[in-house]
Amino acid sequence: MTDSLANDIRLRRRYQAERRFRIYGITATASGLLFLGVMLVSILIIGHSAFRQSFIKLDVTFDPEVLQIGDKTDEESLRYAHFQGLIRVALREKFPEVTDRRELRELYALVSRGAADVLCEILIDDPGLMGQRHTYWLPASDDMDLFVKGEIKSSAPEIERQLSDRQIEWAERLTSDGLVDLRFNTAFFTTGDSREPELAGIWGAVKGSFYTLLVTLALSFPTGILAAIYLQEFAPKNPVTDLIEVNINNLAAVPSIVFGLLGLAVFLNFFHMPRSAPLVGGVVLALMTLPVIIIAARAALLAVPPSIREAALAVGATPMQTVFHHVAPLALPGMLTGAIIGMARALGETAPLLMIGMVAFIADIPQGVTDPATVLPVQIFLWADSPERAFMSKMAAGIMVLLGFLIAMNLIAVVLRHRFEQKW
Amino acid sequence: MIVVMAAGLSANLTANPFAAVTTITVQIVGLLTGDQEFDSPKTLAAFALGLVLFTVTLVLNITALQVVKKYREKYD
Repeated sequence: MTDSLANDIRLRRRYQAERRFRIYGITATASGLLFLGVMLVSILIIGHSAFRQSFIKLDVTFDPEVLQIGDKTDEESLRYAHFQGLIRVALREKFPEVTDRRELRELYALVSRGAADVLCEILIDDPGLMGQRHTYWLPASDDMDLFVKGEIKSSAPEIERQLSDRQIEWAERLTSDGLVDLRFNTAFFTTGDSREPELAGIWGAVKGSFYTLLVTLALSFPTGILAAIYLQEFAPKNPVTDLIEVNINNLAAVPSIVFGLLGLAVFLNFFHMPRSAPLVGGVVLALMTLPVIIIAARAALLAVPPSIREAALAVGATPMQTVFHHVAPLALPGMLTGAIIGMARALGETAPLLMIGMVAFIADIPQGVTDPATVLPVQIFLWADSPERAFMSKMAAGIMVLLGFLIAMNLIAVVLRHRFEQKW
Repeated sequence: MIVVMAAGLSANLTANPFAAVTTITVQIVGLLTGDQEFDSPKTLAAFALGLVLFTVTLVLNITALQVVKKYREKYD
């Protein structure tokens, strides 16, 4: 009787322990998801406004006198023309009561400095517009943009906001006249970096990342796969290969900044390769992803059952034919997955690129692997360091673009694995 | 890399996890971003810090390999 009672108690305790363990597991997973959700939501909240940009509607007269170019209309002289003046004249027409020099400067500050370039391009495309009057939607400055998006509140004390009382009054008048509009910010996806937040775009960084990853992939994928095949299938087991194995494992775990130091010392200082170029960045990231690819590829080769090799050898295939006709094709999905995950890691890497000068301010969009460039995570790092408030949303929007690329790459890896995976 | 944005710059020898400290990565980035001669003491210090990082991970990896070798059980 007492024996079965003790048994019951022990059984209940064991079931309770099972339940507790399950609750711990669920709590851990849920808190992980919660943190992920908080991160994504906060990025979305900060960043969604960067995809829209406010524009101001202005009546612009292409007056050769204001442009200060006389009667020349060739592209060269138009590039040096005073387009800022056209915008100032248009603004003065809208607000004729503003005459004081300081007030005028505040008024001009409502329109972006990039608006002059917009007008310049329009006139170069069609020089026949000279002397005519047209209505254009021109980009607003970053502070005006923040006000339109409601991030600068007129209720705050004047000293604590970037816009003065006068500027707020003008901005409200423009808004109530229907001259301000929030539109999709195409410039964000087509331009390079800029010191003016409203003109800064992500395209330069996307192209820089693309060229860098191209170099990385071209170098690390073939090398990594061949090294893995040799080490796994052909290499004898001796102290030398043991040492190589330790080294590969070590390189996969070394903090990435060490690879940046290597790039600085070897590629920049010894080989004098171009600074800030995707070529050097790609080589450094290739060295960084090489051990990751080798380890993944070796694991994939190891997963191919020995019976396949034995069968191939039994019907007379040479060791090389065995590997390339039978083992490698079966291991390919695993190798590709490893390579894509390595690439995704390279895409998100910043520290080694800081060492080789890819952190410079580069406004031009790179046209090749030797042009100075920056990459997505470094661009985000630069924007996060910028003092202007409007760069906050740019930073979050850049993170969204980067996360999008990372999710896409990892998704491809998962799909590849599911599609080609073989079970034995 | 995250530490460059999150951790501080004050080199502080303390066991208190709430005090401001710095990390090796932050120091390397701080020493090397800027204009220096290649053989300046600052650059060399950055490389020395990199060597420390490399050695520490190497020792950890060798230890890990020994542990795996000792406790691995082979089934086939």
